[in-house]
Amino acid sequence: MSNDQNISITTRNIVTIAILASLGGSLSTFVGYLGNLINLSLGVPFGAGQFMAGLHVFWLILIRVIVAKRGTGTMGGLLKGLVELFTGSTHGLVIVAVSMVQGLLIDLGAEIVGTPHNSGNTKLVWWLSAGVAAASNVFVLQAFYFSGAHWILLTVIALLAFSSGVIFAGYFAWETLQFLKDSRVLSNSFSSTRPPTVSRTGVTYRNLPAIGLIIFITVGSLYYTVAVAQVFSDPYSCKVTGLVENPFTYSPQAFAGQEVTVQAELQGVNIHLDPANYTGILLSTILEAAIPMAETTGVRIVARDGYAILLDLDEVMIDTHLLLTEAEDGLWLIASNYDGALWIRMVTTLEIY
Amino acid sequence: MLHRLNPSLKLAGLIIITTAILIYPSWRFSGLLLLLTILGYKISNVPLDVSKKRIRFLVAFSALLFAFQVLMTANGTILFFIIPRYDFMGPFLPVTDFGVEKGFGMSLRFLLVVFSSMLFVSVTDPTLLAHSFTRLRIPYRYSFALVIALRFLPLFDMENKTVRMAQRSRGISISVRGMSRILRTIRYTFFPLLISALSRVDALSLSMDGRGFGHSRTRTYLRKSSWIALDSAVLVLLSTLLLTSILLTLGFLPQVSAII
Repeated sequence: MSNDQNISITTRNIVTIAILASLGGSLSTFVGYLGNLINLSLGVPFGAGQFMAGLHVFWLILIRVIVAKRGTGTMGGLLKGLVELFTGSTHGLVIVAVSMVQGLLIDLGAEIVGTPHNSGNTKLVWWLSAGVAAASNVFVLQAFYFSGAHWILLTVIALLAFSSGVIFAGYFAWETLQFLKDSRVLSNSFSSTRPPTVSRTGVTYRNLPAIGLIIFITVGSLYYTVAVAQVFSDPYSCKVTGLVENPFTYSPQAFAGQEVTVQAELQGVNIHLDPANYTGILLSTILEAAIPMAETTGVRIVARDGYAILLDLDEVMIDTHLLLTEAEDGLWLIASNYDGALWIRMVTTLEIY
Repeated sequence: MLHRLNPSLKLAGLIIITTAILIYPSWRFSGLLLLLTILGYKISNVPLDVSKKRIRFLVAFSALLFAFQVLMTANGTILFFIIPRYDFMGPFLPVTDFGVEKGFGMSLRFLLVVFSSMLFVSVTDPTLLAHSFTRLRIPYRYSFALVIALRFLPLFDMENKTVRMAQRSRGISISVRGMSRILRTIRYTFFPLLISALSRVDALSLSMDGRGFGHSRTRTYLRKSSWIALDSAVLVLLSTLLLTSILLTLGFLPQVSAII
């Protein structure tokens, strides 16, 4: 980080950010065209476009390095997103959110590592933050359009975007900065020597915004993975919650020895599964362990894909053919006394109300 | 009519609509808002004259979102199988009513975000938007950056074409076969444009400084945005929309949620 981080932004800085954001927005069509060419050359209808994701972050890296001041990455991201919105991006307002998050992540990386220069760990952290920023578009877009996508698919796409970020917004951006310096367009900011060391107090104060951002992103990521995406949750466990005295996370191992085997036949409108034996824990046994409160009347069963059904609690508690069994993709609700639509795959929550 | 609204209010409206459908992701709610957006095109006399290529993309992407949700959703009442039973094989890939509902929800959400953004862009003057930001106490030096960025777009588009034509005349073609060729293609396009763009920074910033840009905390404007009674009415409507979506999500409006 340069010593002029806290000096207010000058007219030259504003013009530099605006012009680079404008150029980035203008060339986004060209980048999209390159993505389509790669799709064609690989013979796939879409997907390879993520390989160009780093080229969108490239401009934000240039902005943050050339105007080495706190927050310029975010400002550049916001501006580039607005430019793309006004030039008719096919993602609409979402592109502003995508671009701004990318800028924010680059600012975070810059806060951690300081002034960009051409050596050692500094370069590595800048390149990695470029990769993370490029990969973030996958998760922002997922939040808007692809909710429910399998985490393996998301991880593969995110890794592709991350690699693109490291290559185009890391390696290529550094090559570009060196080129700009060699051609004397760039006179400051990008140095090949290490910056002078600053006092310990300076480091502490300087890092406060970074610490804040890290906490925000860590808490946000945890909330996202645990409460929204449930990426890392065990598919063979489910939450037992609601109006109960003992909420807990159900797992079959905790109920070892209480398994029952029932013969059930799925009878749906368009599907019929022949009678088969299913082994698992009765729903009544699981709910009893949670100790439902006196005023409860029903249970809401929710699946990973958002599907939910409501059942009468009294009927559930006396049903000896309603159980949770382990299948290849998670917990299944076997409901032999009910319609086929009430057989649920990938159960994640049992909520008593 | 939408042209007359305050630009900041229009931006707030766009954000509120996007937030509302994220909070309450019902396909009926998205469909209703999409209908209102299309009505917005009508009353503002903004034609839906997007290019065929763009329409093709929008339709293809919304169809992709629909198919993705249908295939990824296993629960619900099975309507049919994409691969039916044959002898002892199958059936595979069930299509459920819940999956179809989710698919509609995602496709309509995508179309709503895109069409409402396009409407916003069509009825909003960027210069007035920048001015309206200053009325929200955002320093004019920052909001002016948006004006600069948008003003330079036609110039960069023209320069981009010039650079690519110059390359073609020298026998340099765009190639994506291999990483080194991709990098070479990008390098040949980006480097001349970057040099050209950054060389304008000094001239423009010195010119702005010379004219006293940033000297005073306030500045004068040739064209200003204004706040009229209609803006207040629209703000109330938008706030109601946001509040309704929150109440629907929390389950406080069961009669309404049964309909939308």
